[in-house]
Amino acid sequence: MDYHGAWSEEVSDEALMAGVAVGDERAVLVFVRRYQRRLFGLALGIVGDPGHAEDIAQEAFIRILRHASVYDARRASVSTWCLTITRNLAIDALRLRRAVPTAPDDPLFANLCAMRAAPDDAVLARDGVAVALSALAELPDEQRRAVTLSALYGRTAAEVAALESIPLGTAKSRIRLGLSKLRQSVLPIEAT
Amino acid sequence: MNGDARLPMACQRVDEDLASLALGTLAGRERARVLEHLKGCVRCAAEVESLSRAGDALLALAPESEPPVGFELRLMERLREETRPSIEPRSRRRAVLAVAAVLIATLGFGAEALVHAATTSPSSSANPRPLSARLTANGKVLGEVFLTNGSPSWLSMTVDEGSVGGRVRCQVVLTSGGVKTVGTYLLTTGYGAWSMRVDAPANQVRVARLVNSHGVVVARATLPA
Ligand SMILES: [Zn+2]
Repeated sequence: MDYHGAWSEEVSDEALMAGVAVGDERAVLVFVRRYQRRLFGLALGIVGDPGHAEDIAQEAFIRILRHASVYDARRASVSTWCLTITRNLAIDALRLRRAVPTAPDDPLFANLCAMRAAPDDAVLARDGVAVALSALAELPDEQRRAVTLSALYGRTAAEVAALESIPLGTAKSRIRLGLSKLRQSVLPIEAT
Repeated sequence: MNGDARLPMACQRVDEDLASLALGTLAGRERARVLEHLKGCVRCAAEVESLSRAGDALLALAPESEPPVGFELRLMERLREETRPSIEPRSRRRAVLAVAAVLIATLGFGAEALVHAATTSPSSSANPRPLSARLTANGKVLGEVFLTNGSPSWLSMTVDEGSVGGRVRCQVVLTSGGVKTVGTYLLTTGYGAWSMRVDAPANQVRVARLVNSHGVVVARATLPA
């Protein structure tokens, strides 16, 4: 148990997590700085309100830091683990609040739906981004919109139906079919 | 609009909702209905598991956004309030370190709570508020020590005064008089914060101290009984 405080921007997520798990103060700060834009951005995309999104992102950080010692690298990458925690918190927080479904208003949503404006190199180089992007590109437009609304913006099938002006059953089918197809591209063959 | 006709009827009835369940967006009675089915259906349970992983993989594309100004400080403040409502920071540096210690202590609780959950002894985490004491040397305050209740307990220490340097050992002195070394750390600039597990119940820890490489006690904190 000897840490020399050499945490930097370059250290891997996994090493950083190990530092966080043993309570290294600098690792915690590097970790928070590395992930705050992503956790806040995800929460904001789901709940739509910056103040509410901040609460959720903070709660997510608190949980992540609290459970860092049980993070299991075999199950998920650090980023996936953190984003999943944030997404679930955001969806739970919203469950009782949103009366009228709203479409995401960030430009990324439109870009993803239209499959244009490739992310910058730094984002593209990130683990899993290229794979997820090409998997999404293979879906028919309407399934891509439905899956994106649900998976990245936390919209329920009923909300997708309202936003897309389609019957609920159709929305469910698009999400279901889209995600199944996507699974074939993003998961290793033996896992499906 | 039901799913694959080759599936058993019970599975067909929930199949359309499996993706929503996997993505976390299914709620209320629908969610309860699907979960009920999953209890008895290996096929659908496996389907949800792999759909979840596909959905998680998509999160790599989640939007990013700059949090509001002060996000980081408010996060630290919140972590501090969660575990220890009354610290009067003397300086920003000190505040950050004290916060880090509480944050570290929080980590300790997390692990502890999970261990308890796993070993089915839910009773012993009654009071999660850490004991605290000033870390001093010759009457001068060098930092703070926090000790969580429970067994094992977690000791967090911050040093933020700047006069102690080099490699130090952190030791605890128990009520029995026994001494345990719980960690060795490098204090590069006289500042540091750590958390360590103490393999003894909190109520048996009397003193926490730092010992330099010559074996000299350079700082100590006496914990409230
Ligand atoms: Zn089934």
